[in-house]
Order: sequence, then C-alpha cells, then structure tokens
Amino acid sequence: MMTRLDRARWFQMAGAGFLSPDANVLKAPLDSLRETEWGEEASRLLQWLESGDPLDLQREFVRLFLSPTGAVLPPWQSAREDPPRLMGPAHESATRWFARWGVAPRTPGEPADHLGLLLNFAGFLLEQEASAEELAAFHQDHLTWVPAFCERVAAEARHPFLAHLASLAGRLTAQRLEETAP
Amino acid sequence: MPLSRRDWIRLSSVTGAGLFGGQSLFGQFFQPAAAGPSAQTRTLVTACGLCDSACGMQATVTDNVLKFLQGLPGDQHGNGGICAKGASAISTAYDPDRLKYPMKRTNPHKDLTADPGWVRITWDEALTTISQRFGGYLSQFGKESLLFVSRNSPELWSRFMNAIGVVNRVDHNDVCYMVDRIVQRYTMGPHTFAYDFANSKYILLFGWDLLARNKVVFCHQMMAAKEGGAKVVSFNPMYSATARVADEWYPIRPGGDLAVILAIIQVLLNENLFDRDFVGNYTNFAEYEGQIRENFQKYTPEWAEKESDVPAADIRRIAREFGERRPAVAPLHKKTIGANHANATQIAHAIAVLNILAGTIDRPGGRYFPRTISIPGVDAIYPPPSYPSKTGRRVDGRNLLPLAHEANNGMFSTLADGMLNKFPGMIRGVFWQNYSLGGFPSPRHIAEALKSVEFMVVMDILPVDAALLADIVLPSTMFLEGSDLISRTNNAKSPQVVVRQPVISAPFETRSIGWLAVELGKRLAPDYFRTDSGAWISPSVLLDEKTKRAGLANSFAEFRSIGMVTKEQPFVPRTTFATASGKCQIYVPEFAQRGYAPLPEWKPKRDLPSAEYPFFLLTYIPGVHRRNSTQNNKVLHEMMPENSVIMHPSAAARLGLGEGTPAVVRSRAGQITLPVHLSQTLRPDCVLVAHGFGHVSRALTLAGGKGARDADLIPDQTIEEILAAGNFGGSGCIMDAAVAVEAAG
Repeated sequence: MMTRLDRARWFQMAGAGFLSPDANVLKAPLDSLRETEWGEEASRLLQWLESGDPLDLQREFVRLFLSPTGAVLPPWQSAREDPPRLMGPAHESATRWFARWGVAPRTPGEPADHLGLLLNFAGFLLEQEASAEELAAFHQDHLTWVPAFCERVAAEARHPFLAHLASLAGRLTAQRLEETAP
Repeated sequence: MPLSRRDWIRLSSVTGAGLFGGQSLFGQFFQPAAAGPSAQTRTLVTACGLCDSACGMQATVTDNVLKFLQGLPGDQHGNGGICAKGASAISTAYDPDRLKYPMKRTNPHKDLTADPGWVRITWDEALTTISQRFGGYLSQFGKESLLFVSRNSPELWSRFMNAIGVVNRVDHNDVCYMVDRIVQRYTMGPHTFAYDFANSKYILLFGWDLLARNKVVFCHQMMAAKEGGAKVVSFNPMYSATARVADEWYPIRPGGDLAVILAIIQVLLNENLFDRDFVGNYTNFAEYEGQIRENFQKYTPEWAEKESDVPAADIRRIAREFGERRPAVAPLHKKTIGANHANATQIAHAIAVLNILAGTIDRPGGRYFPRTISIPGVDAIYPPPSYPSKTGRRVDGRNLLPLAHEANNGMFSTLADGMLNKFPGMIRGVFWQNYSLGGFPSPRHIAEALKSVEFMVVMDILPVDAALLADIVLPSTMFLEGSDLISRTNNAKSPQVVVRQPVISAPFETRSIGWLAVELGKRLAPDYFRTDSGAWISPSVLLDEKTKRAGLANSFAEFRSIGMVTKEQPFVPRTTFATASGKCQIYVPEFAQRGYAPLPEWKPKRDLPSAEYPFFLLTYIPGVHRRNSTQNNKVLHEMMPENSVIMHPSAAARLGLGEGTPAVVRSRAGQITLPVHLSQTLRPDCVLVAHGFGHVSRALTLAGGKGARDADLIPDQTIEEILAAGNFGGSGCIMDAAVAVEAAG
C-alpha cells in the first residue's frame, strides 16, 4: 500500500509530466520515486524520458495537447465537458479550490483546470493532510474525468513516456476515486 | 479542512523553502496566492473588435472570467445594441482551438495535409528566429524579399513595417472597399461610411444590404429613416434583408447597377433636377459642364433597361423622385457591389456623382465626414527617424495601378500570379496575420504560392488554414484582451471615443500585434522604437500619452473607468472639400491626367453567363458570421454551420435539383459541391453561395471541412487582365464569376 506522501509525490510528478515533460523538471522527482511502491514504473518513465531524441517527446506532447493545427486531446477539464470550451465552470471551481488553500498557478495565462495543475494540486492536498471530506470533494469536482481521459492519451500517444505517464496517472486517479467515493 | 486566513498566513510564512522551494514539484507550478478567494463581479466598458463598427460593449466579468456581453447605451454606433457576432465573442475567447503558445515546425515538408511536427518554443526564441530570418533576407535579397499579408494597423505595427521598409504589404482591400476609397478621395475627400439616413427622404440602394450583415449602426439608421418617412428603393438581384424594408425592390441583373445609375444621372442632368445651389457652389460642375452633360447623354433609361432588366419608366420615375425628394442619398459599402465587379470603379464614381448632384455631401441626410476627436498617433508622439525608402518590386503588380498604389491597399487577387509566375522565388519570407486562405480568389493558387517560400510566420487567434504552411505560429490576443481608443466614425456627427480595454487577461502566452511590433522593432530597427530618453517605446505608456493629448483623461487607466467621452457640437457642413480643387469633383482631372476616364462610363462585368457557365455567381456574407473568422464560434456555428448553393426553384427544377440535392457548382476557376437550397428570393439566372465556409484546417474543430469555399469559384487575376479591363481602381472582382450547376455524382 502506497503511503499518503508517496501518493502525493506521484500525483505531483504526474501533474508536472502533463505540464512540462522535461528531463530537467522530472529527473530528480522520478529518481526519488524509484524508492516507492511503484518504483519500477518510475524507473521505466525515467528511462523513456532520457532515451531517444528529446525532440520526439516534445513533438508528441504538442501533437497530443497543444498543436496549433489540431491537438488530439486538449487537457483542460472544461474542454472535455459538453460543450467543450476553455475557462468553463471547472476552471472557476479549480480557481476557488486553489484560492481557498492560499495558492495560485505560477502561469497566470494557464486555465486552472489543466490536467497537470489538477493532479499536482491533488498531490498538494494529500501532502497537506486535507480531510477525507475535502479530498473526496476535490476528487468529485475535478478528477472524475481523468481516468477515461488518461486511457485515451495512453491509447493515442506515440511516445512511450507519455503513454506510460497517462496510464499511471489514470490508475492513480481511479484508485483515489474509488477510495474516496462517498 | 480548507485553510483559515490564519492557517494561510502560517503556511505562507513557513513554506518559502518547502512547498514553494526549488526542489518542490508543487512549487514549480504553484505559488502563494496574492489574495484570498473572491468572487467579484464587475461591469467593464469596451469596444467590439469584430468589425470596424466597433460597437460599444458592457462586459460582465467574474473573477477574470467573461460572463456576458451586451450593448453600451449612449454609444453612437451600437446605440445600446450589439449583433450576434459581438455578443457571442465570448465563445471565441474561450474556444479550445485557440492558438496558445509560440510553435516551431520541425517537418520541412509543407503541405496542407502533412504533420508539421510542431514543438513549443519560447517567445524569445520565436522573436530571435524571426529577426534572424527576416534580417537575413533583407540584407541578402533586399526589401522586396519579404511579404507581409497584414493590415496596416495598429499603428505600432505600421511603424515596424515602415521601419524595415516593407515593400510588399498586401491586404484584402481590393476585395473590399479600395475602389470606393480611391474614388471618394478624388471626388469628395477622405473615405467615410457615414450616412445621415435618419434625415434622408430618399435612399437609393445599389447592392447595399447592411441589414443582412447585422451592422447595428446601419440597421438603426435605416429604421430611423423609415420612421422619418424616407422612401427606400433597393436594386439587388436578391430579395435581401434590406430589400424587405424597402418601398420598392428591383431584381436587377448583376453588373447592371452601373447602367441604372448612369441613366438616373442622365435624367437628373437633362431635367435639371440636381441641387443647383450645392452643385454651383461646391463642385466643379460649372468648369466641366459641357463634358459632363455630353458624357451622360447617351445613357438613356431605355438603354439602361437593356443592361439591367429595370424598366425604363421606373428608372425615369425614380430619377425624378431622387431629384425632387430631398435630401437624397445613395450609399455604398464594402463588398456589396463596389469591390466586386470589373466595373466597380465606374460604379463607385457614378454613385459619387449621384450624391454630389443630390447636394448631400456633408449635408443633413447625406454622406458626411465624421466629426472626430484628434488622437495623436505614435509618430506624432515619438517622431521616428526618416523611414527608409521602399525600393523593390511589388509582387502583386500594384505599382501598375497608380491610384491603388497610392491608396496603399491590396491586392489579394493578383498575389498568387505574382508569386508563382511573375516573380517566382522573389518572396523568401512571409508574415501572415489574421487572414484566411478563403479570403483570396482561387485560394488553392495562393496556397501553392505559399509552399514555395522559405520561411513563413502566421499570427492569429485560431488555427487558420495558413497555419498549416507556417514555420512559426504565434498566438494572438483578441479584442477582449486588448487596449485602444476607438473613435466613432460611422455615426459621428459629434465626436465620440469609446475605450477598448482588456476585460479578461490574455490567456496562455498570447500577445498583441502591437507588442510584437515593438519586440521585433527592438531587434530589427531599434532606432525607430526608442523614445527621446533612449527607453524602448512602451505600448501602455504610448496609450497614456495619446489619452492625455486627446484630452480624454489624465491616463488610460482613468479613461478605462470613464469608458466613453462624447463632445456634443453642432454639425456645421463643410464648404471646402479635401480634393485638389477644394470642391467636390464630378469630373476628376486626376483620372484624366493618368489616362483614365474622368467621368463614369459604361463597362460590363468581367464574367457574363455563357452556354458553358449559364448562371451569375453571387456571394454574400451571412449576418451571423464575420467573413471567414467566426465559423468556429460555437454559438454562431449553431446558427449557421455550413453553406449551400441557393437557387431559384424554377432554375433548380430545370436541372433536376431539389431541396438538399448535392450539386456541383463549376466556374472557370474551379468547382465545389454543396447541397441545394431553394429560394424564390433571387433571380432565376443567379446562384448564391455564402462566403466564409469550407475551412481546410481540421484544427478548427467545428468549422473545419464544413461547407465549401465560394472563393474556389472566383477567378484570381493577373495585373494585365486588370489593366486590359480598364479596372483602374484594382477591384478584386469577387462577385464577377459565372458558373454552371449540376447534380453531384
């Protein structure tokens, strides 16, 4: 059974991976996660992160999430809702969550309901020992879409790092949703 | 439990090296919040940016999220209203397809279907790359090697292009209002769309259909005219929205407008039904009376009937009514008829003559020059060093049309020919801003031409088709995120300025074109972007200075809170006009000096129906869309997701076509396939296709692949064809095509 803090670190690593899949950002956290229950997964991610042409990973990240000529899977919660949009109710809700905990994203132009920010904040709540009610509420507000989304990313991704990252993030989130379900 | 204020303070004080320290993944993406939660709702005044009406708006914003847009009471343009396009601009601001970050192509193979292999880059890398590439082309191949497909605004952007000596700036105005602008300059003065319909008693509309375009300012004015008892007569091949409020509608043959206008002038002159006081005192009629009368004598209503299908008796009666029921006016606007036919220059000139004879230039009930507050430009506030000369070849051949060249507009319709045939390889670098390929006649030609350039930058709000061919894509802010001072122009008998302010923050890493001008200017032409003190020009300081010098407020921040300034003043009609003679010019000596007809004369359309192409093609811009820029807007997409080929039922029946039947529409330029829509509102010899659809880019999730491009049916031109046709105003002829229709498959 993964500890609360380990789980928090995994959430934060996954969040960072969806925001900036960069070895400079992720190498140290992944190294430290090799000591956790999912240590082998961390090693694999590290290997995929550091092998091959880094440009391939950047290209695939853009193709999936940010392409100016058609992203496959825009990673904002509001963009996954019907109708898809940016800055929808999910963004406003996430903004309120962040504000209540006294934090704000460093990139002011990024909508608050970006998958990476939400996963990172979920780790923060665990780290801060938020109550079970709080955790459950945040998960219901912002993580229910994540497992299905990550499954699609894992299926679409043409780079093993992103495919595996999505697969792990989906499992991690699905577990938490199950554990914190009311 | 959420943190209490005390907990939050404790957290902030202890987490500097923990949560937010350098090693924390959380801290790399989050920081302590500057303030606690809030849900403040504000209402901010701003001005729309979708079209040049720039209607005043009130924006309701909660926590930096735009909730609602509505009109601004007291605004001379919207008069408290806005159109569907303006109201739904929220959907564009929050469109998931928006361009978000600067991107660089890594796949050198350019094709509309190939994956460009984008990678994200920083703005700094983008600016450095663009500066190095453009700077290299300038020094190695000269100023003619760069092509800027871009408007000549905002003024900081114009300054940048002037500073590096861009020879080839091309905009859409040859398919828009360039012809009218040229003609108006030489017949009465600076170009204006301002009409005092509310005080008109007789209004003649030649293709003018701004009610269908949802131009709020003109809708209000036309309704005021009707309430004031004006008689409105519409000549239009289709029973348009404006025709429906007219007292009389004539389904005129396309291109026949010129014949009717010439005949009306003939009657006005023969029967001396013009405003003798105005014409005698403020025009050059007396100086050229013999030539003028002789020129129009041959254009009888009976002759005009044969060219227009409008009965001679009606033309004669309407002419008499126009001459007698004063004040009378005949408006002209973009993309109605003025730009669209090979005889557009003559139409614009003939309409100018009508208005001059009516004596309503800058008079109540006529076409007037807007009264505005003088707002100094950047070159007045920060005088630049002398700009470099713009030496080099014009890729579109505009230099062969001196009046168009002088107007510094155009030319979309000849650009592909210039790039592909006249000067292949001359253009090395392209900067493409806020234009769609579908805005060009024969867009596949311009796409082909763009593939040949070495380096192309596209800046836009959305992933337009041209982005598929770009080397660097730059994400642009939109009007809801920008700042400006907007003068009223279309309804401004008294000066009024409305603020445009950022009602929401710029999302992601979007930047304005003004910001880009300064940043590229620093790198490529630094001497033009410093103030006297040596500091770089700052767009915000510049705006403060403009606000102060215009007397609007002490700072732009203060004007943001004021929102709108109106300076009531009596309307004093002009007695001199900004032409060479100081008078309104019916006969234009400058045209004669250049070898052009100094008076309007009959010319037919370029493409007339034939056995092979038996229908006139008409295009229109639907009221719920802004040209080709709003089809991906969710709300507007719901209202009109795609276009169709609209035909009269009798014509469709002859071809075995019914409602919804897929049909191929062919012209000498190309073909498209669309479902048929039957309508009795247009002539049986015309087919009608809405403009703005058929975007290639699937990155436009809603609009990509929906409908078809009318432009694929419209031939582009060579400069020689324009010259041979006597089209000296350089009309892009976007409504000058003939087509055939047949069942698809």
